[in-house]
Amino acid sequence: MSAGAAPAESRFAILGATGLGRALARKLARGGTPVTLWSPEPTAPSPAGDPPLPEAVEVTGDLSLAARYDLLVLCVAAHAVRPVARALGEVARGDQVLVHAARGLEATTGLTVSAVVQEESCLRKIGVIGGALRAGALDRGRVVAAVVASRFDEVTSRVAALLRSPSFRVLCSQDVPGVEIAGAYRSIAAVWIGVVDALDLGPAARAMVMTEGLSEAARLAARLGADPLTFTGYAGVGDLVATAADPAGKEHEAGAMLVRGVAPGVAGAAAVAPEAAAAAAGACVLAACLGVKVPGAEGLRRLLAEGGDADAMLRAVFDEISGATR
Amino acid sequence: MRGADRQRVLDLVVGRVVEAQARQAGGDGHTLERVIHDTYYHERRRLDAEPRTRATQQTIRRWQERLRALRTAGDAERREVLADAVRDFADEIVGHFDDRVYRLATSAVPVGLSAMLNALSPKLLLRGFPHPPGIGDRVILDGEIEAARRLLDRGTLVLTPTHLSHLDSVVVGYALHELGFPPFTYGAGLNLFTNPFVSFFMHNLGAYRVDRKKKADLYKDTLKEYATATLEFGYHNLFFPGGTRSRSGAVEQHLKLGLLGAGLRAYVNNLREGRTKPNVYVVPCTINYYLVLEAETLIDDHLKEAGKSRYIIDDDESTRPERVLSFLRNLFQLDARIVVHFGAPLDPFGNPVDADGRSLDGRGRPIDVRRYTYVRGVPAHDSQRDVEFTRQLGAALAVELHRRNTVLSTHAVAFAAFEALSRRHPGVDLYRLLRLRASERVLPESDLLATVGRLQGVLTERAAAGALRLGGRVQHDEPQDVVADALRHFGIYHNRAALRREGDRLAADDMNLLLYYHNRLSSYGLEQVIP
Repeated sequence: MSAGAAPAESRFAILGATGLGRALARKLARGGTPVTLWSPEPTAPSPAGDPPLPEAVEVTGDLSLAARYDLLVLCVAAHAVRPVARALGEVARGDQVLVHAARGLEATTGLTVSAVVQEESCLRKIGVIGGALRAGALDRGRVVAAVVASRFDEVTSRVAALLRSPSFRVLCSQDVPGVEIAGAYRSIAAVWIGVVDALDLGPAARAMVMTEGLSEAARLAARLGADPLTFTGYAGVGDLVATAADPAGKEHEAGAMLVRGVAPGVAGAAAVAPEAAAAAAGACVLAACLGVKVPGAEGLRRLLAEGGDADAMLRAVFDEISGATR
Repeated sequence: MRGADRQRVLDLVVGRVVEAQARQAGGDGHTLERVIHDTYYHERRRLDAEPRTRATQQTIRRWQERLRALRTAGDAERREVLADAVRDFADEIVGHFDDRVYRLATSAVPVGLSAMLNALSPKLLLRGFPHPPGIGDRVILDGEIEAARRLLDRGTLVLTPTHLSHLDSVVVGYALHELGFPPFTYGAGLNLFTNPFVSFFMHNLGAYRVDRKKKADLYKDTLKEYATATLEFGYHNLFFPGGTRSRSGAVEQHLKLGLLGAGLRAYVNNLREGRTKPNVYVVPCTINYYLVLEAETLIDDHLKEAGKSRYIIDDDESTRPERVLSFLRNLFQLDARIVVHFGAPLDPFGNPVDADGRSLDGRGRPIDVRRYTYVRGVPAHDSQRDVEFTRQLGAALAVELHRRNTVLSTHAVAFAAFEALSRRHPGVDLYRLLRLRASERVLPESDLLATVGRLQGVLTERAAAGALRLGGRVQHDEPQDVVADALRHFGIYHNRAALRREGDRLAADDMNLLLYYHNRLSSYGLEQVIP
């Protein structure tokens, strides 16, 4: 089917040519769904190792063209959402549905991505895609799963209808802050797992950073009205289990860089894993506003921003965790 | 409700409520029957708890007739029985508006109230001779008044004030009249209709009856549909979004969304009907008093475990004329003011609106809010969606009410004193704190002045950032003047002073009251300011 053949109601657009955005476009196009993919650099060659996009994927650099559809999937990293959301706000309409797949918080404000989108546009029917949804698994045709959360049933039902297939399981939730904070903390925990692995501290230390991540995330999210049980589900424990089981990726590499003592800067760990850096910084801002202790996020924020001894910082975090009264 | 509209509104309300129930039942007659039985169950419980009067017995008989009719009823008859019950509810709720009574009341009430107040304070009367001060000198009206006025021509307004006292209705009514706004209709508790004189005015000035003892969902649906219909007919409404008077004294944070959602329902109906002025605007409003008439009862109720069961208080200070007179005397003798502040108007989705009534996004760009209501390209109701939009409106409204809250000297001093006392007794929980011995409830004046000064500094910063507003004294006066002003107020009206001077110390005679006035600042995260 050509890109322009389907009526506007049945069309959707992916905004952002990140690894996940491109993998989703490939997956859906392979299933016969017409896809429009917005990229700020539409003519840029595919990243190394990234499979090419099928012809059924219409790639455009014109945001207004992509944003005319009534279902938008925002695949932009958390630290880069605001300018895109602002531009989207120029053309968005109130009846459009938007879900995002970011895994961080805004570094300077601690806002969740859905809050940033709401600040910058008239969009209200907003949701989040969480859980262990990985570009690699989509491309390899493995069974994948995602949690779609929104306060609007229309959002969860329409996104579930778009994504759901025998190899793509979709779980629905209304807990938007829960899934967003869980996603941000997955990024934070993934860097700490990289630190633990590089220091060869073993499974107990891994379990410590993972459970501390969950605990901090649940405490923060509960103050935003989230359901703590979200963190025992696929968006929380599920995502962390998948992360620990397959510890590749930018965050893991960033953790190793911290142990090697690579100085902060353009080539530092924060540049390698900017979404984790934004998640840690944003979690600290949010925690300060809400009066919640977040030693894991605070330790990582300082390491990424200021550098220092990752081993000593990890031990300080462990000291605080084991000494803290829960 | 003007006479010409009364029957049309009643028919519309009954028709819509019955239709909605029938739709939910999906053609299953037994479901409709369950709704009727459920309503009877709640009504019977209510009636059994009330004194047996001719009216209650008549209501019970009507219900028994309905139940008898149900035994042999088919689908059409079930709908008739349901419609009969809804019509009874709607008949009770519906307000009436009489222009003659309105003219009489608006010309007589300010004059009468002013005369009464001046008679209570002869000194003040003489001071102002030959133009004695009226109620207008006691009520400060400010804020986004012109924005609200402009919107009167562009749609229907829902005024949403904070609620501390039964006097609020009088104060708001006066404010609207003084500003030259048309009358607003509002739901008033049934207990306010028991006095025949008051009832006559309330009934003829557009107030509609709300019986909080009626728990049946069918009654609540009828009430919401009535409010919705009045908005569609262009009657500006007044909702207290907290649902009832704030028991704790804090600014409302968790708003009742049921009635608030009437604005959105009316807006969708207006779009569907193609009405020329479909817009509904929500106007936040805060009312602040130095002292609150019913403060002692309200905080007591808040603190009692049984607070919920006393939701409808019918024995507070507002029912005792001598307390009302004492309160009004205080209001005049101290040059005290009531501050009524209008906030920035919102649309039914919680977006701000500009002077022309256009909704704006977070960047100030005009947006077409009709699209929020679209289902397959046309305006339509979607209950789940609309509940969420109303929740978002409630969140935006709560933020605006907090931003527009005016901090007066009694609030700032009570906050500083209560927090300072709690610091002096670390580890003591709230209820033990409230029961401290008299010797433990004192603060050196110098300590309190320092604390008030520090608090004023932070409040000034917050006010500059738009997080709240400061009354004149808190903004400009030295701490000793702010404290002196608060003590003057605390010492006059209440049975026991929240705070009074005792040599070079300040003593809290009534910790509950101190907590009550403290609570006006309790949701701003100011606790850490107090050393």
